Formats: sequence, C-alpha cells, structure tokens
Amino acid sequence: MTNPADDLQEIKAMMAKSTRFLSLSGSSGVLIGIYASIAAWLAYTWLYPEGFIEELNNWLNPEDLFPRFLILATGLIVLTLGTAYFLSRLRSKKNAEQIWSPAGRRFLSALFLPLVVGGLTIVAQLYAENYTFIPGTMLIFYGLALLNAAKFTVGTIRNLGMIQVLLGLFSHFFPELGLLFWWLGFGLTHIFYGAIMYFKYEK
Amino acid sequence: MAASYDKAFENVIRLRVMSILMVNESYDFNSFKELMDVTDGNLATHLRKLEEKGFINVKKSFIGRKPQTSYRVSKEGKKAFEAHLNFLEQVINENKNNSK
Repeated sequence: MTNPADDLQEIKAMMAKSTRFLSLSGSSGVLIGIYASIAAWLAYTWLYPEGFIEELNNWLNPEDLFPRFLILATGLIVLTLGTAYFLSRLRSKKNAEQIWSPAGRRFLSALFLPLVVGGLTIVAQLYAENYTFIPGTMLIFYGLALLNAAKFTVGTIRNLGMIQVLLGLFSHFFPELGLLFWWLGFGLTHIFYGAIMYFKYEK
Repeated sequence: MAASYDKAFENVIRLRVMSILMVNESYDFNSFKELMDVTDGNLATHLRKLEEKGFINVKKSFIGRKPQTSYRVSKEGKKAFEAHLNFLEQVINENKNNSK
C-alpha cells in the first residue's frame, strides 16, 4: 500500500488542477492598468482640453471625437488581450498547464459571455448617441464577468470584480465623473491587484 | 460511513483519473493526457481497467471529423472512490492518534 497522506495530497492536487485555471498573471494586471491609465489620460485631454468641467455635453461635439475614441478603444483592447494572452502563456509553461485545458476553457467562457453582452450594450448606447453611461457600463459588465469567472481560477478575482461593479454603479449615479471612475477601475485597481497577485503567487 | 481500501486506486494514474472525474462532469482523453503527462498506451490501459470495473462510463463522439472519447464517473465509481477516501482519512487519523 502506498502512503495515504501522499495519496490524499495527490487527489487534492488533481481536483484543483483539473478545475481551476492557474496561469493568470499578476504582471499582466499591472501592465493593463498602465495602458488603461495612459488611455484615460489621453481621453481626459481630448474631453477637457481646458481642464475639468462638470457639464460635458454642453460644448462637446461627439462626432469630432468619435474616430479618435474608436481608435483608442480598439488599440487598448488589442494591447490588453495580447498582453494577457502572452503573459498567461508564459506562466502556463512554467506551471506545466495548458491554456486550452477544460479548466482554461471554462474560465474563458465564463469571462467572455458577460463581456460580449456588455459590448453589445455599449454598441446600442453608441447607436443611440448616448455616451453618458458608457464608462459605467464597461465597469459593471467587466466586474460581473470577473465575478462569473472567479470560481474557475485561484486568487482574488472575486474582490476585483466586486470593486469594478461598485465603481460602475457609482459611475451611473455620478455620470459627470465617469472618466474618473473608469480610470479608478481599469487603471488604478488593475495596477494594485496585479501587484498583489504578483507578490503573492509569482514571487 | 463506508471506508474500504480499493486496489483499483492503488495505481497513481487511476487515482488521478478518479480525482479528476469526481469534480468534472466529463473529461476527454486528450485533456487527461495533457494534465497528467502520460503516454497514450499507459493512459488507455488504466482507463480500460476502470471501465471494466464499472467505475467510469465511456462515450465516443465526433467533433467535426475528429473522434473524441470522453469519460464520466459512474455511480459505483463514485461510491467506491468515496469509500477509498474515507479509508485513507481513517488511516491518517489513526496514525496521528498513535503518535501522540
């Protein structure tokens, strides 16, 4: 007979490894937060060239800014997904884990379903030319996506999701501060959480 | 609470397969292979053994043109594995008490 303690250890390890995606990378969180901060700063200089004022819609002509924001958003999404994918792949090699494992698949589909719904909601808002709640909508759906995917990975993703949802709600109540909340959520919180994850799991 | 040592789970690959199937509704051959880093032949032998014992159910299907074999734990398999787990825990507890 083999050692029962070793067997139990083996059982636990296999249960965890087969259900949870372990290769999320904290350093990608920090990088994504930095990209988002740069994007938020650019958006700020475009939206408030004379400094912050509360009533955005009085003077702003959205048609002029629309192409710039579209390019900014697309660039940000590509950079973010690229960085997350690349660094997760590096980590998964280190963990000897496949990204496209059943656990990885479940994690990604749990994450992307709310994101796609949120993306379509934003398309509808753009179509209606109502830009007021876009930052809040992004935060809420992203937060819900994280909450939904949290059970398929390790770490503090659940808290990260809660923070994003709360910031999204605040942003709906105080829409004139939308850009600030967006930066707090996608920029600052990512940097903070990425650093925590990095020191906790990767060091 | 039933507790018995089952020889079927003595082998580490069969132990791992059962652990995975206890927490995943179904799992396919290639994913087993990737997760456990075993050869095709070795894995197939142990899966067949578990199947013969009636501990797992096998389902063959096609994804596009690729054949896929997926596995689920059976009722008997679940029972046997739980009994095996209980046995391991008992042994560990007894050892703890003896060493006190």
